[in-house]
Amino acid sequence: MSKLFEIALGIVTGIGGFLETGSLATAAQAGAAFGYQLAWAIALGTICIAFLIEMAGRLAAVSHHTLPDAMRERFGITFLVVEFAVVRLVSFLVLASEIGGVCLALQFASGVSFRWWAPVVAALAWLLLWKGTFGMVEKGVSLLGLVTLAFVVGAVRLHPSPGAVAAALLPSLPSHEPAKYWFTAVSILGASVSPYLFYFYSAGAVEDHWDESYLNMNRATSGLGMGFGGVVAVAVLVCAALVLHPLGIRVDRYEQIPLLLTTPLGRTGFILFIAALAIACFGAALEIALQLGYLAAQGFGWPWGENLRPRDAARFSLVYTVSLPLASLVILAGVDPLKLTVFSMALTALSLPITVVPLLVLMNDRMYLEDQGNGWVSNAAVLGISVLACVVALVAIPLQLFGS
Amino acid sequence: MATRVTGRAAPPALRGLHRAMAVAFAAAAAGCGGSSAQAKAAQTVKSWDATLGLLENAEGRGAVPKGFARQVREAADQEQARARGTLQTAGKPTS
Repeated sequence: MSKLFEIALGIVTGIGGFLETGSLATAAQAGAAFGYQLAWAIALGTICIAFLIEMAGRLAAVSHHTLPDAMRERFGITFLVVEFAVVRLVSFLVLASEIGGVCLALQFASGVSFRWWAPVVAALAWLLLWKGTFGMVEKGVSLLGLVTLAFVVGAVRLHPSPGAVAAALLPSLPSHEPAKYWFTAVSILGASVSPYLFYFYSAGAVEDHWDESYLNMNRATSGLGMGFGGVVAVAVLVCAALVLHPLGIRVDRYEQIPLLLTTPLGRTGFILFIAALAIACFGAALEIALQLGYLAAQGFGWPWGENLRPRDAARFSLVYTVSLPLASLVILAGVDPLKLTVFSMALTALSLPITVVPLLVLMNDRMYLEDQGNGWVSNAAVLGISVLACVVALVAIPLQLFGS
Repeated sequence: MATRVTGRAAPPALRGLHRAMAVAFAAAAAGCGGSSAQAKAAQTVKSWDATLGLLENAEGRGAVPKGFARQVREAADQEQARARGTLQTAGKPTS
């Protein structure tokens, strides 16, 4: 396969895999409550995840280490256990949210309550992971995820003011409801910078046997793939800002979100919304379940690989085999998927320094990166955004929860 | 090829970071029982009225199936009943 084709495929899968339940729900809530005003949070989150993805890929290409593997070597097992506890908790909540997203899409299409779909979705995801290959999970589902471009079509048909959208890409202070504003901002940042994304990417780079000849492809994939993916998330926000915000509609339930696309695209919009929600969330659920397996296997030095037969990577396969039904139990228990999603995204933002700082330490270690270490721009951007998200989350989460 | 490095302890700054984050998680978890304000409940009622208006418009254009429209109405009933309950409770004089 030519490098150019691989770059194109990487960018396309980056776009198709960007939107998931967290970015969809938080962008819709932001647009409905504050119009375009929170577009800057999506932009900041996109910049941060593009840098992080590029770093994870560079680490894998240069050192041939996955992230957990390198962390175990660099910081020792005690650190790894604490790090994993945080990443696993956050990833597990996000996995439950993604399963909830697929279940809601099925509820909207069938009328059967989302709760009853949870075991079916978990079983289907497990079957695909058990029987499938890494390429199928990474590229197949992400290519199908291109259906999320329907939001871009919807946004264009609603004729937003380009100047107003561009102006909103610069951070601004809230004119009303500051607690909700900042809570929504950190939820957007958490949704954009989910740790599973760069852990999964790092594992994928090693699964695909990357070396230093892949560095340019890695830059293009992370920069352009994530950049265009961020455009899709901004399109969701624009749709909500133009359809829901003028009517004073707040997004309290997922049932309100399909109306974003039915207004500009009619019945086709409804069908595209169901497809986008189901495919995007199912793809993310597959990636997170795999990432939970990678995290444990790479961290503890077990055999791992989605391309291996399950019996050749038994403990790796066991982790996702257990994680999927456990996460589906959260949805089966009737937890509100939207509240779960938004809360897990805010917790993700809160945990960013824990997940991001060790990566930055590795990326500045010449023993791993030789002369391919980080420059000051990427260090400053990622550290600044992560610490900002964490500090804002520390203030905004309690304020939002206490209803101040 | 990078050199392998084994078993170095986590830097003190990272250990301190872990402790600070543990406190933050506990604080966030402790806040789970917050109550909703009266203004928020009133806003919820209005928001769902507007949602039903938008839904009616979409139904009129044949943009949503009947089954989905029923689901939105059920969600609106549940959320508005909850919000009205909050408003009634808040309206009662405290003894």
